[in-house]
Amino acid sequence: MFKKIINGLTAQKDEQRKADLYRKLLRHEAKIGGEVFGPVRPGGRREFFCLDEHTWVWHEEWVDENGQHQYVTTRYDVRPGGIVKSQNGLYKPVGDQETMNLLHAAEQYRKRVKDELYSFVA
Amino acid sequence: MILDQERDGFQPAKALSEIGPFGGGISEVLGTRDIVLDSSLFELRKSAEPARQRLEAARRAKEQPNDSPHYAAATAAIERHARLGGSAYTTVATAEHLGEARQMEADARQFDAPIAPELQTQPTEPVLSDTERKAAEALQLIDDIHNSTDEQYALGA
Repeated sequence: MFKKIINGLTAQKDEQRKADLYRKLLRHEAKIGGEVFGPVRPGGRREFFCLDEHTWVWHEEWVDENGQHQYVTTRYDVRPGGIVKSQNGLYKPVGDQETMNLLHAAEQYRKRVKDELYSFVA
Repeated sequence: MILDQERDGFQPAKALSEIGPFGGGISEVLGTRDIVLDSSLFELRKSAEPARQRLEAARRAKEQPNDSPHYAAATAAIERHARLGGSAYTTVATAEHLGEARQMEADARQFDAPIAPELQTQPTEPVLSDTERKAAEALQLIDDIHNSTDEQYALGA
């Protein structure tokens, strides 16, 4: 019984560690992904990452000309019939050129995280 | 999920250094991430293929406008229309690509707008006068042009 509890706690801890590690890897991927699109505006921040098999996320923050902090989170949902995006909660269609830009960005992202992250830790 | 480097205290070097103690768990986590990335790119490529084809078709149409069947159909229709006496269309036949043809077609539709409603209902009535028949034919040609350019637009031009 006691052994069972210990094993259970160990398994939970192991799962928690894996989940933590997964999140850290994702954060690092997002940072690398943010560099795929070139320089970020002064005072801004950008993240681009693959959340899961069907979702890519682009988050951008900047300070506008009035000194106000602005942000846009774009979530691309990859569906069998096409790609749609939601920006700050509003769904919008994705044009052909934007679709191809997303694909190219994702390919660069894949290459960069492989070279700059997983080649070191694998 | 919005990642916050400051809030989460995340530093790349720190993260890399922290990976060590997880030992055998690393391969499993990395393997999972690899599968997610590969699957995601596969899905993305598959979903983007129609868009790629439309862009490629548009690029070809732009580079080789005279080879486009839609362009040829539109040009032929405009030339026929011009022969019917529509002086406003005589320069259309020299349009260099579909974008111009479409603009011309839009102008033509505007030009013919006053006669369109009546003739659309009975375009082939034998009681029409020569002038009306010519106008009906012109209207049909304009519709042909319109359909051609719509198809071209559907291809992503």
